[in-house]
Amino acid sequence: MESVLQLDRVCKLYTEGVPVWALRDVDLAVRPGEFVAVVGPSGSGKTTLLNIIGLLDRPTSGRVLLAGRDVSNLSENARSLLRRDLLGFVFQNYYLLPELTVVENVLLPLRLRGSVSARDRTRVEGLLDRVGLAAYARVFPSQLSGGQQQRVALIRALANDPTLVLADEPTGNLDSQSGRAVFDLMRELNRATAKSFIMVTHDERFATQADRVVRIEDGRIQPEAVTP
Amino acid sequence: MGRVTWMLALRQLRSAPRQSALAASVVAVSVALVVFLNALIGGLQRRLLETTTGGIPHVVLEPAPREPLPVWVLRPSSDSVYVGTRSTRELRTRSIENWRGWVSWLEALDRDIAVVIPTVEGPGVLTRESRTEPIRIVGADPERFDRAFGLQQRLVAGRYVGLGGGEAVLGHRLADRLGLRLRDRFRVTSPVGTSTLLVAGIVRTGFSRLDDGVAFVTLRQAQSMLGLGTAVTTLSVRLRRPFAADRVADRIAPVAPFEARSWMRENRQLLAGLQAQSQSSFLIQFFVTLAAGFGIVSILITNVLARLREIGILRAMGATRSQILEVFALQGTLLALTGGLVGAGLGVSLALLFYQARASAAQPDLEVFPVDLNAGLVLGSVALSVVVGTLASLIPARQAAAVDPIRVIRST
Ligand SMILES: Nc1ncnc2c1ncn2[C@@H]1O[C@H](COP(=O)(O)OP(=O)(O)OP(=O)(O)O)[C@@H](O)[C@H]1O
Ligand SMILES: [Mg+2]
Repeated sequence: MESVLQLDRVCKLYTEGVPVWALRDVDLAVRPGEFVAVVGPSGSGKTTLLNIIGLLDRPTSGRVLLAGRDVSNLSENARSLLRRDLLGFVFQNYYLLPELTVVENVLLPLRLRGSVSARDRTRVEGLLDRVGLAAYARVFPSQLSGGQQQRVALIRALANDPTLVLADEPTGNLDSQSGRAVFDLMRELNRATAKSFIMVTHDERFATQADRVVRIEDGRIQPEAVTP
Repeated sequence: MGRVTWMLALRQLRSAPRQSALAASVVAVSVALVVFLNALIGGLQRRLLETTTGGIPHVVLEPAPREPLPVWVLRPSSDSVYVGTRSTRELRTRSIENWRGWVSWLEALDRDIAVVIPTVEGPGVLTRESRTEPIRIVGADPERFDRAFGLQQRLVAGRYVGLGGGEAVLGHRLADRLGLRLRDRFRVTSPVGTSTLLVAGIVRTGFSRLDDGVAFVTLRQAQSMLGLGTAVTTLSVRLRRPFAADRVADRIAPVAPFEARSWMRENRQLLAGLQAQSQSSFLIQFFVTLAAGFGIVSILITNVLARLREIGILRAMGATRSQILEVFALQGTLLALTGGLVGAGLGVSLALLFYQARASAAQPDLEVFPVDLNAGLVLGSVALSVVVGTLASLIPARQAAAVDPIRVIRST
């Protein structure tokens, strides 16, 4: 089956200050519905990788194909529209908009696209219900716990029905119990919706439960370890 | 403009109510000042212009003064020749004979010309019992004259429209001085002879030149009193726009045998004063509006800086740069519109209060000039504030649109 995402020899050189090769010749392919965990030491280039995949940053060299389409040289505007239509983001710090209610936050990606159809609304409200937050729909994010906020952020990432969800240490700010709950939810939604996920994590427990683990060190993807 | 940008703009404004109120107040104060100042100065200037031009023609046409004529006088009885110039004074009874033709020619000449009034003007001495007063005799067709100067409306007694031969309307001060009442008779001596006239009306124009020493009569009456036959001395032109006077005068003078005098040329000093006043008022308004613009800029920049991360998240979720620009520019527009409407209300109330305070404090002979409030001024000021607010907000809005999401998301 065709890859949702494919990277060909992607390199990233940061030139501000001391030049740093954050990524070196990265090849990566993600299949539809696959759950990929990205692990590696601090400063190894995980966030850089996710930014490039998320069309927030451009590679210094190499090719990025998203849903079979070369997106390496698109305009700023075209990249915004692809993010809007194909990608979902979950951040370590949840980053819900404080002046919008829970339901407004989760509907925002759809609103950016235009008006929200009744079908979309039902689907998104169904997702909120599924993560146990239907009762909090009209509440502002500041009234929720971290774990609850991250679950809302997860639904927001899924609202536009993306092909690929990118999560940079989504459990990094949570205690182990809420972190576990969020991870389980991601995995469950990944199976239920058949969307691909790429999750950066420091937690080996979660990594082992992914379909595949990608290990980065010093900007290079390490050959897959043979599982014993 | 998308609904989502409206929602975000409104939410952001609401989530920082104090900042929003501050920005709107800055605009409100500036618009209030613009409205108030314009109303005040507009009213003052209108009154000054009315006082100056209300009772006079905007353009006066009189026969062109003739050049002194060279004369050779041959004296057959002697061998001498008298060579010299004949003084123009000798030709002084200048008059316009074929005025009917000129009136229709003039009225068709220019769109600004509202009415041309053939007028006979000349000196006379009014005698009542043993008292005498020098006066001006002004003869014109009452209907026409009234259309230009509205004499009928300002009558204290009697009538002007429908005036007959042997009847006159007098200025009220002149009538008072001589103790003349309606239906009284008096005599007027002109260079040609003496006539007896009946007081048919007394008028209070508010212009001392007219109230103090003018007798209005019919055209025919004045012609016979001044010995002009069927000629007139002056064609008085009233314009639709008083400030077209110079232009109209310049248009007539070269093609007609008249000297064309514009009221503007005869009131240069006043006009220069008015202009200086308008200019300084304009400058004040300009700087106040500019200051309001800067106020919006600085408050919205603060807003943008406080929301960098939020902007980054929106961009990551797929908001385009122009959507971000809209969100912030819209806030500027909304703040300016709100501030502008409040300010316009404030300015109008202020102007009316000011007018009432003066009106109630005024002595009877102290003039209370009106405030010139019109919908155009008020709406114009609001529109101006909206334009300035929107333009000002473009500076922070562009800044917001240029935010690089990875920079602001990374810095946690
Ligand atoms: N904007 C930048 N300019 C210069 N260097 C950068 C920039 N962003 C990242 N780097 C460098 O690139 C390398 C990779 O950074 P990156 O943030 O991708 O690492 P990471 O694996 O996400 O680390 P962590 O686990 O701490 O989040 C690091 O050496 C970092 O210092
Ligand atoms: Mg990172």
